Amino acid sequence: MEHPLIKTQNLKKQFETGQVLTEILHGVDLEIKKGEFVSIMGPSGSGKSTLMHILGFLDKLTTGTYFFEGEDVSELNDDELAVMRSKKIGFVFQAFNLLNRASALENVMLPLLYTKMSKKERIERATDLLTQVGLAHRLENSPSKLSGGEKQRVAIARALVNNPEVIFADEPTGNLDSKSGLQVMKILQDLNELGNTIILVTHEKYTAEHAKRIIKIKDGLITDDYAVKDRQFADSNGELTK
Amino acid sequence: MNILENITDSYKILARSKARSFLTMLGIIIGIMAVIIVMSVGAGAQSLILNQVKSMGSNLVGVLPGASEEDGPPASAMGIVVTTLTSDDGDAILQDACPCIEAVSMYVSGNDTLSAEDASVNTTFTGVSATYTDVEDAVVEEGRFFSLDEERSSARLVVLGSEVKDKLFGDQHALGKRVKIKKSNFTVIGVMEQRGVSGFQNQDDQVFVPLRTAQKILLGINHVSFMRVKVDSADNIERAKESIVEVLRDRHDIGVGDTEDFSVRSMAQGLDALTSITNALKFFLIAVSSIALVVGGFGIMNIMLATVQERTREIGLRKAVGARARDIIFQFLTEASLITFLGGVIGIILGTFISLAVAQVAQAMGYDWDLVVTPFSIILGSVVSIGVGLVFGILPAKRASGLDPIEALRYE
Repeated sequence: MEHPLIKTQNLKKQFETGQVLTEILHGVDLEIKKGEFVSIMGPSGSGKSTLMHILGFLDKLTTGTYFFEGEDVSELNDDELAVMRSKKIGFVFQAFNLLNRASALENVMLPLLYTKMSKKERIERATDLLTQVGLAHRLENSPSKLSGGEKQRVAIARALVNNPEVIFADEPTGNLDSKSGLQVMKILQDLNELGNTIILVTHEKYTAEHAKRIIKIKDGLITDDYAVKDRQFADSNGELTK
Repeated sequence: MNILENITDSYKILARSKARSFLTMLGIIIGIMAVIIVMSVGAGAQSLILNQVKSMGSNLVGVLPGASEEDGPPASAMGIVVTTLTSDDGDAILQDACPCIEAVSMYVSGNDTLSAEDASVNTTFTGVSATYTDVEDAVVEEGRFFSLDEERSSARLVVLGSEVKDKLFGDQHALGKRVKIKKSNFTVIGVMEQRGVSGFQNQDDQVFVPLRTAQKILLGINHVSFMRVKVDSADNIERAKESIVEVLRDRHDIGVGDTEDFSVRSMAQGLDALTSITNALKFFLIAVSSIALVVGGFGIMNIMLATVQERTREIGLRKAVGARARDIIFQFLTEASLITFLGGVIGIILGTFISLAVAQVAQAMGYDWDLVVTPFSIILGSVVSIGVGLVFGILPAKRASGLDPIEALRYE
């Protein structure tokens, strides 16, 4: 039997602020298979971001176990976490987090700086991906010259550039108008159709319903986990089609 | 990520804010410039002095009053007046010491305003033995030098340095004219050939009077400041020195094991002493100018810390996409040492130009000055400037690498 891509058992996370110990996650058990499109949905303060950070190797869990591709990754050190992020994970952030001094192409190439790929290959790979997200004409533009939707598409290309096992999108439409937001959701849906595993973190039910499955989280616990029956679909013009 | 790419990236970042990068470099530029100038000008001055001392002849032995350490500077060179050496000592050396000694010249000197009929000039009068021209290889251009008899009889005769002659008499004949030194009248019997600047002294800006005349009439002293002894060949220097010591110990009643009240040095020893003095001076100046480098280093550290703070989000992003701590350290160390290296290069260029200017000025003033900017000082300047970047960049780089990616990404 093939291992699930992500599996956690009784995953807990505590923060120490001053003298006070706060538990954010109270024991999360979940399983996500390769090729899924999952929304982790919950109000702010529910622990959904913390869960995403741990699953995305940005943060360490306090207790419990985390299996990635069947391997126990609960106790990786900082360098090992960085290597996992470099090889297995792509991130799309709400605030885009692009470097303004670099061109769109250089932004997409950034994760490849920390791999062994040659510069020529890196340029080819980044150009391909920007073409895929419809920005072939924007390669040399600085992010400050791009619209919000275009910025997020550059960020998606950057998330894809290292050919990750899973893409985490943290409120990817949060800073966008609804039309640009839908274009971004369309790209994510297309990527999922091509076999990419996508984990979307959002507090909006509507955005969450673009995924195939929703995991609801509240006060550090999973409260619901179900397949989306009436899924939302966006087309490339940013129109909603059901 | 390879080094070359890291350097080009860092260069782009620095080039984006040129004014700021330049100001950041300024401390390093000044520091490296100062070190290059001190090394070059120091070496130029040192070679100038040593060459001149060497040109005075390797078959001379100096006798100085006062004891001294073997290679250190003699007490008299420090401005302390010691009166233990007399002209009788000099005569005894010539008579009783090694027959290899050909001549002894003794020296005393003072300053006064000399006046002739139409002009006056403030200069140095040097009382010397009649053997002066022989010992020092000096040439009388016009007239003659005084004789041994004239010296012994305290004759009031004077031989002018070429510059003094020009100042007092211009194009007119000087021979036979009267010159007043310390209210006494002297008759000009000769004019020396132009000799130029030697050491710190202008050889042409002085006049020579018989030793005894200077001692009795002008200065009222019995001792001599120093002696130069001419030996027949450089091979006999050691023999001559030993015999001089023997004669003087005997004359001064210095018992076995007691410290001598005089020093006998060959030119080679003098050179060693001079080299050690000039080296000490040079290293002291280098140390002082290095302070600018340290100050510059702290400037770099300060700016790099500000840069790290400013680019917190970028650091968070880089970590999120897979940069390890060492990648971040590497990036910021490259940036810091690129700043200091560029500053170093500018400092080396400016320092070389200023050294060149100093050499030009010195040459124009008649000094035989070499421009010495060695490859060593250029390499040293480059290595030191990169080193400053690495040392003062490590703290900011460590701070950057230690940032938590989640916190850093949220940073506003």
